[in-house]
Amino acid sequence: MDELILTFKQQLIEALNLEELTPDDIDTDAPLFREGLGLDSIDALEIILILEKQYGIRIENPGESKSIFYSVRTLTDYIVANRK
Amino acid sequence: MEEEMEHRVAERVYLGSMSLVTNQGFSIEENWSNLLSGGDDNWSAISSHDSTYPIGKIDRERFSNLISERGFVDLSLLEQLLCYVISDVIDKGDKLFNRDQCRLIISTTKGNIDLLVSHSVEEDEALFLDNMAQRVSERLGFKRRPMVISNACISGVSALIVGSRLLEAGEEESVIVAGGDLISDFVFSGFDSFKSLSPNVCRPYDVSRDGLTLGEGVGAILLTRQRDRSSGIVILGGSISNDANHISGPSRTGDGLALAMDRALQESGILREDLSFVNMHGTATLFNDEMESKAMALCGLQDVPVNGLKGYIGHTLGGAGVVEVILCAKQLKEDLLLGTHGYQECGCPVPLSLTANNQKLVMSSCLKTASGFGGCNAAIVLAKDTCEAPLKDLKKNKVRAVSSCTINNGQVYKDGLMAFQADAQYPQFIRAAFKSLDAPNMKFYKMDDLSKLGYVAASFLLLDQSLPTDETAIVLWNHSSSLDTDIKHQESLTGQQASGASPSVFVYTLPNIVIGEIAIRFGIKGENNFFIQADEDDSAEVYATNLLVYGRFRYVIVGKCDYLNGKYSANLKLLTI
Repeated sequence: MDELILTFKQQLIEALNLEELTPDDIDTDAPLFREGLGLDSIDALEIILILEKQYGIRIENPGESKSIFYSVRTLTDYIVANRK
Repeated sequence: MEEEMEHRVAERVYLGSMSLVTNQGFSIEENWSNLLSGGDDNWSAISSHDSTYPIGKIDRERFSNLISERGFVDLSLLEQLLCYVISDVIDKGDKLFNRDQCRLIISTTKGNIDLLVSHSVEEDEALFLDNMAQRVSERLGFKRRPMVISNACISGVSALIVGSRLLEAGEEESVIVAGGDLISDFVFSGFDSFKSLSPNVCRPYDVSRDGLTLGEGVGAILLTRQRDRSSGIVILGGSISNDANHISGPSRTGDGLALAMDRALQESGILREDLSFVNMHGTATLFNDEMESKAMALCGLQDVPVNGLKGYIGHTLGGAGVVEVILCAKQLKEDLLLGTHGYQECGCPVPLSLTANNQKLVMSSCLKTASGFGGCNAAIVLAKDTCEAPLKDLKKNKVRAVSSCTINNGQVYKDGLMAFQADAQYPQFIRAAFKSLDAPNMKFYKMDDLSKLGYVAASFLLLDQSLPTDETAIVLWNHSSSLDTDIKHQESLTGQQASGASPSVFVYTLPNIVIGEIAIRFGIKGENNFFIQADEDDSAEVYATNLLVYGRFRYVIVGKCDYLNGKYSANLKLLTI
């Protein structure tokens, strides 16, 4: 699990151009949107692409999946439960 | 100072002859008769790897038959369509039409972007929007240099506002505004990656709406000061604003759009209770339509009849403003309000006066709005030319420069003095210049190179400035539009390492996004406009200066911001009265 969290954080940094951050700077349990990293709707679409391309998970409507997108923890839990 | 102020009375701006091509036909009459019956047969389909969507496509075969004898065959399809509608406007006008004098204004977001599949920017000059406009202009025998406005989905309304102001101030005799975009894989894949496309024809404002439908539309309108050329409709006012909130998401309050609507109405002299209808942008995405309903309420217009036209023609992007204004003028002339096709039940926080049915109404005037990426909004007021609205009094202010910022060759100059330098390639240089400002912002690293350049230049320009945010406008220009990021988006589709469209790249494939970034950073909510022009062209600077001269704004940020293939150049000025 720790390995998945680290990999996922690296994927976030790469896809969302979080250039100034290292995985250690991202709090696994902190909210990703608005607070915390202050991500927005375009970032949410990029996270959907990570889930699709790296883990084979499709999410059609991010608006209906707020609890999944809450933090790195909730996203990686979702990946573990749904990856193909 | 008051007594020294000069005044002049504005000229009346008439809509003259018009021409329109969409999925619903090749003339205004054909479009109109199809719209009256819903036009349901005139949709095509477009597919991505896993989904199929409707699209309002212009019939290629019919068009090539129509145009076969006109000798435009060496031009691109969009250029041919522009030539077709512009020639049509000229042919419908009187025989004295003066091509030496008339100014052509083209509105488009992506021009010939489909050429990028097989041509590099070095190989094909037609990829540059100003060159494309020049090709159209020369072919039709115009003598003046054309203007190009590329301001996302408000491009068409922006171009009409720019054109009408040139006439109103007496600076031009006649202007033709022509707008259009075609749906290429480039554009389609981007909207697909944004998950903003509906699997069915879009349903503006409806409770079940689930996204937009793309369409192709090309239109042209003659703007003239001569009443004897009037089609019966005038432009009474227009305004552009910025949400200063987000580069792609609509405002959650509608305040930006409401600002533009209020100002357009105020300029027109039309009272809100006298408006016959409001034609909204109505993309049928969840958040856009929600935002628009809130803006209507903020303006106290929730009881005025409203419609949206994208259930007939789709979202025609850079052409939308021109195409939909033509259809607004037609509705006014016919005293008939088209229904909002696809609408059944209100799905907006503020209930609006909407119906799917066409209605006969006695009409006098209407307000047309548009909103787009970059946080931009525009509104324009049309009326029958029998209306009694008073002519505006244009005061003439003196304009002075407050500060300047130039970025070139690893150096930043503020007010003529070196403010920063670094001997480095662009990515390292611009990052170091940003850090030297000591104003951290995580969003900076997400921007494309053009936006980073404009953001840093504006940050130096506005050091120690406190601007009245509603009273400040931003007018930028360049030659390369967003081509540098366009190339990156195209590579994600068809390059050797194609991995599919990325929303965070696609959103920057519009030149005006840099204005959005500056507006968000500094909270600037006034007009925002993006001109595509060559270095020697001063159209944008003259236009921006006139925003101050005629008292529309108190501050204007104006200048060049250009980035392509590692070459960069920014030169911004802050002007005031």
